[in-house]
Amino acid sequence: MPESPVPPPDVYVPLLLVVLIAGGLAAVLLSVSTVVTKLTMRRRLRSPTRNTPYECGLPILTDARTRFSVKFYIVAMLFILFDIEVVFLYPWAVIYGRGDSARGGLGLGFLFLELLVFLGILFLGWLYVVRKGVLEWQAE
Amino acid sequence: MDIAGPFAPVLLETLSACGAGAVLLVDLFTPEARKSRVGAASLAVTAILFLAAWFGMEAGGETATLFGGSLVLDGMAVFLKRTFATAGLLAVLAAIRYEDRLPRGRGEFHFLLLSALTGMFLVSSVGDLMSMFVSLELVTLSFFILAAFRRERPESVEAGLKLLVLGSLAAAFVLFGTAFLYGATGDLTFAGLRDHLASLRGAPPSRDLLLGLLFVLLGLGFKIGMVPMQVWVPDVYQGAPAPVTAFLAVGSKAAGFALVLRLVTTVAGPGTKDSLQLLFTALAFATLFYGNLAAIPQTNVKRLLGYSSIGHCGYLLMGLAALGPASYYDESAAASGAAAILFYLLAYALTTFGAFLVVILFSAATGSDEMDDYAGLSRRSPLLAASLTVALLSLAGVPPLAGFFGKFMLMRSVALTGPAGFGLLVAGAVNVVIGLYYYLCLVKRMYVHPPKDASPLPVTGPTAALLYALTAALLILGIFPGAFVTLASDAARAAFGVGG
Amino acid sequence: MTTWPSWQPEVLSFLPAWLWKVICIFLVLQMPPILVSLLVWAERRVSAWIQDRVGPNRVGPFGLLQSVADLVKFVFKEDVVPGQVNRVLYSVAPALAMVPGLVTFSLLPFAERFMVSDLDSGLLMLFAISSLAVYGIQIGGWASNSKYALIGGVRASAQIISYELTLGLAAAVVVLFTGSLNLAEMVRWQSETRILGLLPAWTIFVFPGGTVAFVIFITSAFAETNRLPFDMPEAESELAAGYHVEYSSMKFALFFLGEYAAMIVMSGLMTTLFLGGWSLFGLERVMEGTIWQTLIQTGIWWAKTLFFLFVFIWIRWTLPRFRYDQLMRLGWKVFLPLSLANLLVAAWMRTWGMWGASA
Repeated sequence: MPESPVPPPDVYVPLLLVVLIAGGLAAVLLSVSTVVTKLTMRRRLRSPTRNTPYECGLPILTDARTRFSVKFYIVAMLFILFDIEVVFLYPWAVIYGRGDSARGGLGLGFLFLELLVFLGILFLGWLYVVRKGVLEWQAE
Repeated sequence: MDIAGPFAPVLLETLSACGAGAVLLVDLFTPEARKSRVGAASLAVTAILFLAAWFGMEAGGETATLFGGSLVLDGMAVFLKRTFATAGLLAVLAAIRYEDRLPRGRGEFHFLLLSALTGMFLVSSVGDLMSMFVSLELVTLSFFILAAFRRERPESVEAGLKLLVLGSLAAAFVLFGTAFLYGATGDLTFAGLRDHLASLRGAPPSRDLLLGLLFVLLGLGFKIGMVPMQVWVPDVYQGAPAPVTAFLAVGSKAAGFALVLRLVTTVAGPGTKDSLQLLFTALAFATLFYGNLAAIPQTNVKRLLGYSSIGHCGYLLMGLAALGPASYYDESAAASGAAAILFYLLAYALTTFGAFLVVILFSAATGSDEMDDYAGLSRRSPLLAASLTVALLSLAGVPPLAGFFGKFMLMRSVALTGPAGFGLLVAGAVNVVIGLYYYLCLVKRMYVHPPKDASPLPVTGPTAALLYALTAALLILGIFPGAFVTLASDAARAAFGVGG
Repeated sequence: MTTWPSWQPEVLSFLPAWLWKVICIFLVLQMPPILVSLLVWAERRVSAWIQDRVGPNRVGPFGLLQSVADLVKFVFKEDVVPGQVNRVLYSVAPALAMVPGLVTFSLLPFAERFMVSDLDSGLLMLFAISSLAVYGIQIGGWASNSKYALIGGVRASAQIISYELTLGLAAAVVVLFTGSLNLAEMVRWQSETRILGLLPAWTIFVFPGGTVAFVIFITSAFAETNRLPFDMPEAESELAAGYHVEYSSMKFALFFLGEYAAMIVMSGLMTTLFLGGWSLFGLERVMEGTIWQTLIQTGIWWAKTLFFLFVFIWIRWTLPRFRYDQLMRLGWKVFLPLSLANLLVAAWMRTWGMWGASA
């Protein structure tokens, strides 16, 4: 495929079109059932229990806005850290995968060395997380 | 001796980053009972760095660049790296004497010290604005955590939070200014900025450029504790763990001044000198009087040292004010200002650690940082009292100590700018007297007042040796400053492009 | 002006390019609803077959119209909005969960000349859009203001983001082999390169780097789509239904649609990245340039993808559910280091020998 520094705009326009269509479809579908409910139910059923959260029939004791395990937050933070590093690997992989055609490069050996350094840092971070017991969900 | 060849610009950075990782690994695989190993590993790393910086790098070598000009290794960078390596070694030595009081996370404490040190090494040889921001943030982020490290003490958490909030603001200033500079010049490297200014041929630069410069300087002013960005200094100095305070005092100030120096040596030219000199003269005035006057009523030693460090920032700013008005501009005066700053930073590092080591040992024994509790220290521990006295006198600038010679060089560089520097000289002299007053108040408490609690404070072998060594270093730097002055002036001359 | 491939079969070259694009969009947007309804039917038939039951067989031949009946039911069900919910977020969440599933379809390369948008950053864009679905799930779970929904939503997002790492690292192996982020380019590389001078270099055949990456990818794909054996977010025995427990009617249907669409996209991605996409031992070159070639290629692509969908269903009814801590341990302690090591192996192979496939 011939390479071009900038892809033609008609590559992105269809994507945008699909986003708009999908969003519109979602809006239509969401309103359909609301409208149908309004039209077909002459008298809306109302009762206190109907408006409470579903808890398999047990009486509701507390609100759902409570605390939950801090582990979830930690996982989210770890994800951000590691995912950013994964994303950094992509440009590297593209350049490395082009192999000898990379212009002005420092050679594949150097690129491989870079990967080793990068993964070394990543591995150290992973080791730290594991040894600190951050990933032990059984502890509690 | 040059042991790293083309990779000299990243020699220390690589070593300290690997060392930080190694310390973390040692911590991960060391059982709780033998955690003192972590400190030993950290000490080994900083000792290697110290040796590599002083004996493994060529000071007068050619200017080397790496990564497309992002990192530059010139004489100034080498001198700063040596200062930082010394400060790092002393910080770890102080931390080892402190770490028994850390409830947890010794490994992280040392790791963060080393990562801050890595950032400082990077700061000393940055060549463009982006790497400047990144390496500066590496230093600052490490200090956010370090300052809040004793999270069971509200003061420590307060210190960390203040540093975080105000530090983020300062970082925003730096970035904002960077954006303006990039917009004005179309280049992020210092060399590009210099070329842009040279291409103006003496015409005043655009307002965008000046605005960007001002923002970057204000952001950096936060790191050095310059008025009007000084408010965090006393609280953070008081609240943070003492070794961190010492390292912050030295590291943050020296890192900030390294960058300010880089920036000023880059932008100082016929079109900018007048405004730069006016700016730095005003800043030096304000900072000098603010720091020294506010230090007088203090009752807490760490807080006192905090205010005095603002005062020292004022003295250092005098070196930048030595640029001189355009009509009188003398490159050798400007270079001597830069040389004075470099020398002063080295002397200040040693002196600060001398003072803080005593503070650490004293508060370890008594649990107090109050000046009233220092009463009669000379009778309880003559060595501690003597070391602190020498350090304080050096801070005040009493001959024949290191601080005196630093101040002398700064004053001299201001005097070289001619009549314009006269007002600043008087202000500096007045402030030396003010400083002497409040330092001697503490000395008087130690030597004249009777102790409330007469129990002796023993100082053990290695600690005593460290105190002796630091005191000796202050004396040597004051009495035989020649070699170090030569190093500093060579570095500064190279930076300002003044021949040998 | 560079010449990009026309993305248009030569027979249809009399059509203006924009019209062909519109046709593509039209055809591609048909796929998710049709396939999802087929898939729901297939899931029930296959599960019945595996459990030695009959399954839905009343509506239409073999019960094929069962999904249509379901759809009608969805439309006419009462749209219950419980009193405790945050109304705005509660209504937006199903749309957020469904739209990414639909949009990612437009990035898949069904055939050489049949795709909606042929981006150079295709893989990145696909990951970026598909990972937006986690917002729908998390927001839906939170806005429901119900404990089951909240826990389900939080579990789902933690699980999805955990496995996104390994998914990305496994896909990076393919990027590293092909040197491109363009999905069509990846397929072209796989079909044109030979390993050992014979076999097409489908990533799955490039042992061990590609094969291990495939194993990691398919497992992560199961976790990403919250399918058994990793369906803790919905675990009906503990959480009733997880994040959509408070949803009913069409809102529930949208979650459902999004989930199944994500499953199809994951299968399609596996086909594209690891199984040579539209290529099949030279069959993809038959009748070059005609509309038939495009049809054949699309057929090959869908055959492979349907196979993966069958695997999804098959595994669901075969394996028991993991425990949550096991799931997290597998993701973070086994797959993460494994995929890092695998990346290293793959990089080594790329330069120093890939069974003679160094393109």
